[in-house]
Amino acid sequence: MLPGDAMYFESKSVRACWLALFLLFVLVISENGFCQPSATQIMEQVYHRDDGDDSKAVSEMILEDKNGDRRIRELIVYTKDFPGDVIKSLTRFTSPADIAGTGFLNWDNKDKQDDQFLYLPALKRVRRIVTTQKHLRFVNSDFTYEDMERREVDRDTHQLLGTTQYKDLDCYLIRSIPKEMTNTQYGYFKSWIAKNLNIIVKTEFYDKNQDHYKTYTALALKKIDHIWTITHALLEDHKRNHKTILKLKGIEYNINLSDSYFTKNFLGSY
Amino acid sequence: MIRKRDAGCCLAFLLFYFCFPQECLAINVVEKIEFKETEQAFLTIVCSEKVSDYTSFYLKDPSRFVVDVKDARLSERIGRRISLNHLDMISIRTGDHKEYARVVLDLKGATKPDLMVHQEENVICVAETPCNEAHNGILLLGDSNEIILEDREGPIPEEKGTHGESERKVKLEGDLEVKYSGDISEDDQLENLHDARSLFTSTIKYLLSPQNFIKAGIRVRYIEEWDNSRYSFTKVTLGEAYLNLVQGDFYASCGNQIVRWGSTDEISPIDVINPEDLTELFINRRAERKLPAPMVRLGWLNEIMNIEVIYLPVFLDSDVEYFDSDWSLFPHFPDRIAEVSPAAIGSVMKEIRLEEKKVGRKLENGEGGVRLTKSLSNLDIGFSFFYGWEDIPQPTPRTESGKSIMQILFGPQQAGQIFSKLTAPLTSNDLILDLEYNRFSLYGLDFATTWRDLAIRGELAYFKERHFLRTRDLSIVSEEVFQGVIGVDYNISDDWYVNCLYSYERIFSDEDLIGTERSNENLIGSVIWDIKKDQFTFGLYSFYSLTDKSFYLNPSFVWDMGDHLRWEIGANLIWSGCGAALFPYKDNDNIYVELNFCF
Repeated sequence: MLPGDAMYFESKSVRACWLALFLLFVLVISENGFCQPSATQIMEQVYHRDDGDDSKAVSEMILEDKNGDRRIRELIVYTKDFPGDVIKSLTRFTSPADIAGTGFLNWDNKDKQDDQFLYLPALKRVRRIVTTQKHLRFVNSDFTYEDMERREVDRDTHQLLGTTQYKDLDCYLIRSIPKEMTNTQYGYFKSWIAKNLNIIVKTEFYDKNQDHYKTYTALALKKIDHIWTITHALLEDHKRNHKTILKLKGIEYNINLSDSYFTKNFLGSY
Repeated sequence: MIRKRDAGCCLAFLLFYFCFPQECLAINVVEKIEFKETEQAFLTIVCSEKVSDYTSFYLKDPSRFVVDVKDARLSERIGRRISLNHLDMISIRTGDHKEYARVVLDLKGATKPDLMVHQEENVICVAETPCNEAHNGILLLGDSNEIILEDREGPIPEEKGTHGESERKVKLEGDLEVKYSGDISEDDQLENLHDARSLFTSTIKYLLSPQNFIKAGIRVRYIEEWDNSRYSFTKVTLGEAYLNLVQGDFYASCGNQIVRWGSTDEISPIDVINPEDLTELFINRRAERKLPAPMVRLGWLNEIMNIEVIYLPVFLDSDVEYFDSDWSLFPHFPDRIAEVSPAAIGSVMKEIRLEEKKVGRKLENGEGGVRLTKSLSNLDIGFSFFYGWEDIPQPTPRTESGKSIMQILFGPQQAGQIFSKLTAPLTSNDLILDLEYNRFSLYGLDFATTWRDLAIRGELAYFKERHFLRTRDLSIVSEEVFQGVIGVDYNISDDWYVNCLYSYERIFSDEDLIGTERSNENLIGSVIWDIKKDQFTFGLYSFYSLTDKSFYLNPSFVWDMGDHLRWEIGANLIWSGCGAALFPYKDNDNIYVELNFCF
């Protein structure tokens, strides 16, 4: 078959048709990709959502075991954005008596390992702690040290599964798969992101065997100082049958916290 | 064939259409953007078609409010930047993106007007609150600014700001420990088989601000040993009582307080500032033994390093027993001598007395030090210098014959032989040994870092002078000492924690010294197993001297009965050969039960 030959020409146009149909099909099924922001863009918006330059929050942490027995802890969390995309936070437990004074200082560094320090009043000493063991639970709650970090967007590959309603909220549903070499306890997780708020209102965590083992749910949100804030949240560990409930009792944003709140010295002075 | 070719052209056109740049894909066009400062809905975005979706959010650095109109592109007639003459807003900028058209409202400084976005058909309005118009997503919930997604826990306590429980100005805290120990066996006629100890500490803290506070506390220690030779001890002292102030990069604290330098745990040569409660010697952990002391601490946190200076105007010695307790430095010494020696010697030795030569309360008798710390990547390092008094004094005889008494103190088995050499009867002065405190200076380097899943801490300390008793003439000698410690922490899992520590000490002396070798090596290990989180914990602490092979083991089981009450059951087990540091305590093996109540 030579060029100019009728059969050749016919064959070429048929192939062009099939190719065009195939591409059209691909385009149609990926229609969402054209009409909606990409999953990564959504996660970027969540990450860069305005949460104030600094804040001070008082919360209640309720630990509930499988028998429904509860232990209630109260804590203050100071957070501040520093130059170089570093976020520092200091968590101090204030009650009950057996944990009062225990403090946790986290320097969430950009592009390098975080720095974490723990203060136990009984030791009267600030201890640098390992940040690679992210799977360990934070003060016996269902939050692991990994959950305490502000997760950078590029640590995971994000896939937009679609849009959905969650408790009257229009949400994006995104699956995030940790990239290889990422130090994580998770196989993947699914997040429900309220469209106009850029807030994650629900996350299902799956372990490396693809088993669903934890669920995070925002139970209430409130606009405080122009910032939408989760005021009530629940984290359930389905394997342990254990729950951690966080209730925000009060928060103040942009209060110009001194840098000295985020030092080992302040951590160790209680 | 022609039809097929046409079909191919159509499909090629469709393909071209779909592959064309995004602007061509969006069928909606933002045709007009209006800004009317005086109206509530001051910004209006008018599109050619009904808006399928949009998102709005604040961004910072610089502060701005963004509206993304989905599936839309900007009309060519719309400018890319409109400057505004507004109190809070600088300009409106626009831009086409792959899947949306973006309208950005640049805000002045950290200004954040309370903006809401409404959409009606092809119009999006940005308005200042309040507003009750129909709109998307959360805004459908009206102007309550609160969304209850699920009411599982009942109403959240309403509190303004952060002034909750945690912000109480005055806090009263306290801790009561009551412990009973019973010896496992009666190995000695002088040892006490029962031991009751209690410690009560309470502090009132007044918060001036989160960083500035005043503390005032009390500490009450009560000990009772009974059975063969009764011993009791009560001490009421000021607990932690100090003022803590922070101002910018500077901090200061003044009063009775505990300051710990260095980074390692049980053996920490740099942690020498505060005296210790040694009434049970090594049985309690180092942090628990620390006693508050009056001092002034000043610190400066700066970019290069942190500098801290401390000054202790008054020297406070450690709480230590010399004779009467099972945990004394010389347990039941006079009685023991009387037991093993002829009656005449025994009755004389019962008169032996130790008298402390108190350090005078003068300016030059103060203690002080300076510490520089720095964090480099994941390495924290500290350099310390401290000039102070040794916590344990050295005995010195008042008379020449008193030297013989000292010889008996450190070698009771030779009592008869020493007595036989005495040429004159002993006077009361001969039987008094003075306890002298000696100065030391310390140069220390400590670090803490992490490597993989291990937390590593270490200390190197050089003591320019530390004081010992020379074996040959029982005189006090000052020697240089080097001490190095390295410790590792590892969390095997959420429920298992392991800590190991190795220490090496070298005394630069050519002499034989009493009570110590010239080089000493020790190992400390501890394991904690959370059998049930927040309820049952098993702990195992051990000390092993590689030098004299003595061994101490402390298994314990803790039952946490809630937020205030805790029970501990455990054992103190000691193995030691003759001449080893733990030898005087080898018969003190016991089982204990401890109740801890905190509020």
